[in-house]
Amino acid sequence: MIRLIAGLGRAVIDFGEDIGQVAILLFKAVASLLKPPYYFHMWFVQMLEVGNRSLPVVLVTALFSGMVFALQSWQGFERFGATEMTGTVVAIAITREMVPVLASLMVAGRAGSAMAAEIGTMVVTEQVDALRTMGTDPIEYLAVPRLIATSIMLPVVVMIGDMVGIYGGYLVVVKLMGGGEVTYWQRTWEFLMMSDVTSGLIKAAVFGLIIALFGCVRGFNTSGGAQGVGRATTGAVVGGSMGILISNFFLTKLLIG
Amino acid sequence: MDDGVFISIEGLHKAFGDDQVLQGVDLSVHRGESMVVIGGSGSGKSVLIKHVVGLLLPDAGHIKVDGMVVAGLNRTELNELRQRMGMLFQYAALFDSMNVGENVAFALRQHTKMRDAEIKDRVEEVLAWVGLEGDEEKWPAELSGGMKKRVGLARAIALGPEIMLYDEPTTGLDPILADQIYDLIIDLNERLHVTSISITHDMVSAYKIADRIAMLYRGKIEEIGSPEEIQSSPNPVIQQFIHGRAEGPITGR
Repeated sequence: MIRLIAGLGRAVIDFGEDIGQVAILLFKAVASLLKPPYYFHMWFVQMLEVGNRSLPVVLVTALFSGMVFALQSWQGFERFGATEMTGTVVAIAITREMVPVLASLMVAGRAGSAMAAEIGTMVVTEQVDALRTMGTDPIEYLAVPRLIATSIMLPVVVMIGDMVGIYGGYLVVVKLMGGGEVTYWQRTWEFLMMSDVTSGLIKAAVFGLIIALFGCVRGFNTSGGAQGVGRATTGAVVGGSMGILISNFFLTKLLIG
Repeated sequence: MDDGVFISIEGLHKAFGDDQVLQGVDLSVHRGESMVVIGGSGSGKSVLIKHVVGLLLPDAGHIKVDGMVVAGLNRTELNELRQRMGMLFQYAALFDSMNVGENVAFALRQHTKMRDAEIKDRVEEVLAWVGLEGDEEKWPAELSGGMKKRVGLARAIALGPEIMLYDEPTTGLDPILADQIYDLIIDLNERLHVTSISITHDMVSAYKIADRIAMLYRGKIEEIGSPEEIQSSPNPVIQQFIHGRAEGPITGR
């Protein structure tokens, strides 16, 4: 029991430490963006990496989230004969909450962990030291491109995910439950507002930044060989996911106003 | 050898937690000199060399390179100074996301306005110098330890540094490969008048490449002198170390 509490306390302290370092990294990254050098080719490489790594998992996540959510909503609405509203609810839930959050959690597992592993390996094999001795700043060269890439690419994949999720809802409502095709699309477009989509995309951009920040912080703080890289990877996923879930509340509050 | 002191380390202290690694190291390296720092595993040799290039900051004392206090430089000045230095890492530290040619070209692309064709020529030139001509397309994972070291050396000299720092240049290499690396280091010192600090616990390499040898022991420089002076030193610590005896003052037996 005591061990359990101690473990929990340890996790909270670690997360607190990470937050401090995340803030420092963010500050340094912004400062380095104010003046050259800019490694644009690295930005581009990382955008491709993040896109490639996230798109498949995000599509699967979005499709099935949409399908499950439609199924649940249909069952619920059936109780008071309002099944034609399913399309509306699916569209709003998918764009505002489900795809941005679930997709970001998946990307934290895919791209955030990969960042921690790559940078962590570079640290333990002295490649980061080598960069510095050659007069290249690892923050500019390694961190900034990753931060930029995830903040730009996550909204892009989330937007695609939104469409796939809504299509998943359509599959369930129309093809599985026998709902009206025209009603589904009508109800979707009638009540879905631009702000539903944009608020989800803003969230995705912030979550993307959080994923890369934790990935880079844990990567740069790696010590102790292969085992250390393993710890960094896990830490990046846990830290990134916690960051997403916690910041989601504040972002939602802020965006709803 | 020029008489001017090029790198001076004065009263350098460094601790990691409770572990006092360096406790007042004083060491001067003259322009064009090859200084070899010897010492046991964990004696702080790597820590010492990392201070020279500003990878670590001293707790007390300071390091001057060409009259500039390394820890007092701003980021731009430090990066400019680093471009005048080359460092060979213990395990070469090649970028494994890049092939050999890209590794060697890295600093040239970052810090010079050389055109692609010029960079290609320079890469060919330094790779030929380390005996790896035509290996530009290979990946670090495909290379043996000795080849990695040579690529690391080629990468370190690509910008034409005035100072070279060698972290255990021959550890993990067989004696013949090690000898090839010594020859390259000696060649570099003689032809290009590079000032160098090497750290090693391998006495064969120390005698071969050193103008002077300094022994780091218990966080300080125990003794400094020419290879001959070190060999004939009456100091029992030096004698135990250079002859690799299990018994003596270092091991307390």
